[in-house]
Amino acid sequence: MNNYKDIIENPFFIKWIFNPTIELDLYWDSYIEEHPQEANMILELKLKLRNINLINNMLSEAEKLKLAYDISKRLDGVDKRITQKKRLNNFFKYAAVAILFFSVGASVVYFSIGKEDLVKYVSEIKIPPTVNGPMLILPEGKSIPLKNGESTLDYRNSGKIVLNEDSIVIAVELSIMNQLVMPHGSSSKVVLCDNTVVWLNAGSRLIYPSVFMNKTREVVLFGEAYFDVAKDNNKPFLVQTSALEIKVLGTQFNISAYPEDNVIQTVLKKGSVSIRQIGETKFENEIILKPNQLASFDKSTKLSKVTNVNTDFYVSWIDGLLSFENLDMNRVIKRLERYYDINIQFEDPMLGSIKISGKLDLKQNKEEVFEYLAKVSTTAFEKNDEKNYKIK
Amino acid sequence: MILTLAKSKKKSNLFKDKTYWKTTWSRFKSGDRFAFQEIYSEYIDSLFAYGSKITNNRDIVFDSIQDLFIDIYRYKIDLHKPESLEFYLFKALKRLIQKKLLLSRKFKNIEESDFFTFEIKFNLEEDYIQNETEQIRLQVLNKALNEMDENYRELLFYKFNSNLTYKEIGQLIGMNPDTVKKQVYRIISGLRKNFKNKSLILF
Repeated sequence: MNNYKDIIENPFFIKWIFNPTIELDLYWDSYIEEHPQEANMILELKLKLRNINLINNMLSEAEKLKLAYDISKRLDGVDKRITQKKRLNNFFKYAAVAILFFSVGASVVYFSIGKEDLVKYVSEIKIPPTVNGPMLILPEGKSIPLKNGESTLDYRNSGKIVLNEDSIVIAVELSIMNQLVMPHGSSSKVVLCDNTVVWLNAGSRLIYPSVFMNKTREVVLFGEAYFDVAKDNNKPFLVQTSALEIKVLGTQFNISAYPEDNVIQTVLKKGSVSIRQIGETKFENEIILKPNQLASFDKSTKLSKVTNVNTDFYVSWIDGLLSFENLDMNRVIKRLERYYDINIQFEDPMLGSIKISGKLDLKQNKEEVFEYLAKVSTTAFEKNDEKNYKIK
Repeated sequence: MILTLAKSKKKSNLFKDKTYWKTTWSRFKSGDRFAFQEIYSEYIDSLFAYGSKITNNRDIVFDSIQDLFIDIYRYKIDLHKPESLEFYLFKALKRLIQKKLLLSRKFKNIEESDFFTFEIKFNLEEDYIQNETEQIRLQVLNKALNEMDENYRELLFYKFNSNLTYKEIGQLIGMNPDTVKKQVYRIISGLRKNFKNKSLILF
């Protein structure tokens, strides 16, 4: 009989269970090879411990950035006080301080999610934890509520935003950053200054400048969006998400990067995109996607997987359709929750793993959609109140 | 096709031991901001998770994490011989948060619910649930875990989220290291038995 205690005391075991990496996988593969008699024990323990998933409060990437930025600033303050005291000291100390300030500058770049003004923007605006309705947030706390449901914003006339294709026009400075927030139940279409069109899905945020003034066109996405990027070979278009950067020249693709999802999915319909992990050096480990391919990046294992898919399943949401093939009921329900801004619970969690295929027209009455879905999955939807449903 | 995106980075992680972090710590104290970034990126998630277990008040957690790094930097705190960086960070953060909570209580600008909960929620990972029986067992297990004594929950948090030794965990929660160790074994062996037979006597 092997002793499970020895395995638990291996410093790499708990790490492997809760924060697996490739190296840990390799380590345990070779460990098992060398100790075949312990294989069963290790795999059993792994499986069972894996069942416990500690729910820890997590910071969003933006919050982490802001906190790092605040600390950096305060550290600078400490430095300054020290420098003032030592002002009379010799030249070499001055040189040391210069080096120090140089490295401070570098630290800001390190935490940047691209351009420095993006960092500044993300760190300067408070992100409302919950927004009541769709909203466009401009610097200095100015926010413009948008109508519920679908809205459009057009930035093609420099200096102003045309709202919902009609008379509402907002004057903006060219250089400012915009943050568009779509809570559950709403979505929007944005035409950026360069003719790029972005469909922002429910429960998502997009940060972008009114006019792209830099050498690259950069936006930040939390959540899901479909991009139809206007071609400009001289100005690559970059989408930053919490963990990945997606770079394109001109193309059509969908990114799903909800902070609460463990997987970031990028689906390419046309053209080509390259994906790299943020924090990695530019040219290593890039993934180049071809049309009709899906790259799934797992945030916990940091691994990417590329598969061939039917892109319609991933992009039909922009037309208010939801099509899927052999998809877990769980996933479909999550989409419906975001789209209709409701909660749906499974009476038996096992129902969530039913695989279903089909097409839903979300613009229909939601009750009709549920009825159809119930029929396909041979379940029943029970309405508790306006916002809460249960599947039996 | 499976691709690694972060090979170089993660390879080195395995070998970042106590000595490594000790060196990084002195680099940070001497003004090296890259060292700060390294410590920050490595520990921010567990520090925030930890702080949020002590209080629901996010502002207090944010402020305390800020103060933690500033204190280290300003006061050039040294790591005592047996102390690891990780242990120091947890210990100091706990103290800073408690101080802030007490202060806020003095001025009554805090809700009772902001206080010490050390709540640990366990979740069942859906992917791993094989069948309905297992599902029910997991629910019972979950209930048992959540009804555990606060200290034990804190202990599990450390065991699953850090590289702290039993001695260090014991110091943080005021428990004998042997008791800590025994408790971890009891929980894990309980977990194993739980799946072998139907009895659900866990702790």
